[in-house]
Amino acid sequence: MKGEVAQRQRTYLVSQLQKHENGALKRLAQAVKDKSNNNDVVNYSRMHHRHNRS
Amino acid sequence: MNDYNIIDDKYQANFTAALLKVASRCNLDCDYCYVYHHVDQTWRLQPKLMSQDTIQLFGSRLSEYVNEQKIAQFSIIFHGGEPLLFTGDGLVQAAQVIRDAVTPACKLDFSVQTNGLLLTDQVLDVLEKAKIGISISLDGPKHVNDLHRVDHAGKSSFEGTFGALQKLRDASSDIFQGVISVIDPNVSARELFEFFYPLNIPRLDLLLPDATHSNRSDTHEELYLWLNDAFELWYNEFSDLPIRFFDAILGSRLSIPSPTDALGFGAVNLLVVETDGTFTDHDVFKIAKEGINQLQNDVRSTSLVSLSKHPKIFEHAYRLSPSGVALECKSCPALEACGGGSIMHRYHEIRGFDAPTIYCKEMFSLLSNATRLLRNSLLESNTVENSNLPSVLPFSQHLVDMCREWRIVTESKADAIAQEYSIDRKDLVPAAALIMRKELSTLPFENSSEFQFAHSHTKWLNKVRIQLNEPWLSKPFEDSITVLPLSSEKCQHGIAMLDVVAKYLETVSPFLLSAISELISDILFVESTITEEAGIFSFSDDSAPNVLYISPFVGDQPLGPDDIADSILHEFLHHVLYHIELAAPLLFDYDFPRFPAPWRSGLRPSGGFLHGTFVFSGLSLFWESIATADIALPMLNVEKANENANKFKDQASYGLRSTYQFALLTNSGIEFVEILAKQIGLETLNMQPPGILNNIS
Repeated sequence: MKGEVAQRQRTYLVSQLQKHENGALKRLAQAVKDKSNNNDVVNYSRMHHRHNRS
Repeated sequence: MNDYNIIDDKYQANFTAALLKVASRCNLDCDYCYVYHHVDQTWRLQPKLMSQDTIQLFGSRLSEYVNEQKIAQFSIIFHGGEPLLFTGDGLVQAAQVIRDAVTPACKLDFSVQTNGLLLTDQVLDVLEKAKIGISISLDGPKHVNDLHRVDHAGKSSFEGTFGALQKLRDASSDIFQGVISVIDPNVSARELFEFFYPLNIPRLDLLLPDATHSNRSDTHEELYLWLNDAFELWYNEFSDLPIRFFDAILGSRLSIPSPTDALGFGAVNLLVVETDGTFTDHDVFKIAKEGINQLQNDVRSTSLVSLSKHPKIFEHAYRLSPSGVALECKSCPALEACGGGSIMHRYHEIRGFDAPTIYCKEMFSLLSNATRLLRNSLLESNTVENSNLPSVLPFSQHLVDMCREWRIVTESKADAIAQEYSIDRKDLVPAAALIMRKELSTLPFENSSEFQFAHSHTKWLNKVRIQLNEPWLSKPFEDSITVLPLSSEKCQHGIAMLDVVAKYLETVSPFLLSAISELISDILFVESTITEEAGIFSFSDDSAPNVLYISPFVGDQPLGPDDIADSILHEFLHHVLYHIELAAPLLFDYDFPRFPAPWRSGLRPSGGFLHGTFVFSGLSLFWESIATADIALPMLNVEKANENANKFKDQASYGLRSTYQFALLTNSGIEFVEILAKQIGLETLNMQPPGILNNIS
């Protein structure tokens, strides 16, 4: 569920950045893509909330 | 003792660049220069030029290093003083000596940082042929550049430098790497950008004036406004001009690693070689204290591997890590992006480098504004409809209705799975079906008897199954939990507490119990098998929607109804937020930026941080409600309830302010945070930068 939303949002975010005419946003979109290509990404498979308090 | 004193590979430098100070003197006399006009004056002891012997020895040291460390690429920057005093031919020869010494397996990039006064056509030609990149230092148009960048007679250097820039623009190759400018807030950002923008330079690097807590810049107060105005102006009107510092600020919103030492965490990867062959740490350290960057080693005596383990390098690397920032920075929501700021700008005469940057307020504000601008741009083009967010706190009939709908959504997914696998839908546990589908996604399903269909079981609130014997509900988590046997003392204690737990939860709102019973299908009493989890334990997981996993004991001690109610509410709220997010994403990015969370060590992704913030908002209301309940609650400890109410309110407040100012919230997310802030009685969502706390100094 949460992982699904995160993955969907990341794809959406990059597409939105690329659409802008703003040069800084275009460079940012490229940097995000480059970072993803270097496998420096979070595993979206699941979101597990484990709570441990004193 | 600081932990950087411990020999630890993680603080070892990973050199990928060297600054070769081929000339220790300069043909200019810029008043802000960290070499000549700050505390350190060791340049006076250096020979004017680097010797061929030193260059040869450096080449050997580098060769040894790249072979041993298997470095595939290394950058060498000719620097000074003014490196063209070494002459163009001298630089080409030096590059060749180093290239000859180092294995072809390592790609060497050469560049020179120059004021350009000596960049004749002939020099440009030889540098171009030798593939030595050129970066120019120029602060702006003539009257701006003349404010600081003058020669020893006080005369302008503009014409010479600008002429060099024009030559580079006309060069046929791509050796022009960009321009470095030191910011002077007396100059309007618009004028600066209007000067550089039409020049089509490959990159502009704006540098903050060098300053420390002991040596503030004269224009420090003006700089705050200048930076914020300049960033917004650049973003809105000049964004085609790549400004490295501003791109790094913007990129930090999505945790793009910083390409500049002005911000962010990282490793030590630059070494400096003075003209006499001595190694030093980063030369901008010279602004702090005489000799502070000296490593007492040189190319004759020391290998680069040894240098990478020097105690001063360890300290430098430690200060570039989350452990090495000042105490004030550790709970700052901008921590990961700022990284404590440039280390040199942290210097304090009493605390050394264990202080926030002198530019704390500026960094905080820039990062906040960058978030706002990026968020606004994303909101402008956002086509996702806003949802009708339920007023989840302090719980309402609307939430009850939404919980009923969310439960139906989950069950319809399970129905589809039942149909796909020809399973009798009756008594199918939706979460078990979803887990099974995920676990068996690559395998054929052969036997529906693998399901332990739900029959006899205890129910809470007339609807919620307790301790259902359905193996799929625990299968993905078998490595970290044990489901308690129904007959066990621990499980029976949990069950026995549930009636009182309901009374506790009811103090918050009668709608809360209804909402829980509408959404939650199952509670499983469990215990953690992870040794480190010695506290009160519970969890939820997106693969098991609407199921709560609760530990009724902490060690051998049974939990009271207050703590069991806390755990149930905690995990219920996680499920509520899962469902809200499915209908209406609250963040444009769920991973970045990341935040230090007061409730857990390490940096939390935006999504997890928002979850924690939401949960603790609800828990603060819960503990406050039981502390002030007008009915007698069995086993109530009012003092503990008040303490928890305050603790959770503090955590929720920090989370709400941090996300509001620094997370990439969608419209729904903004509305969500504002609603929560109102509901926990938070008067403002504004946050101040940590700055330097006087009681630490």
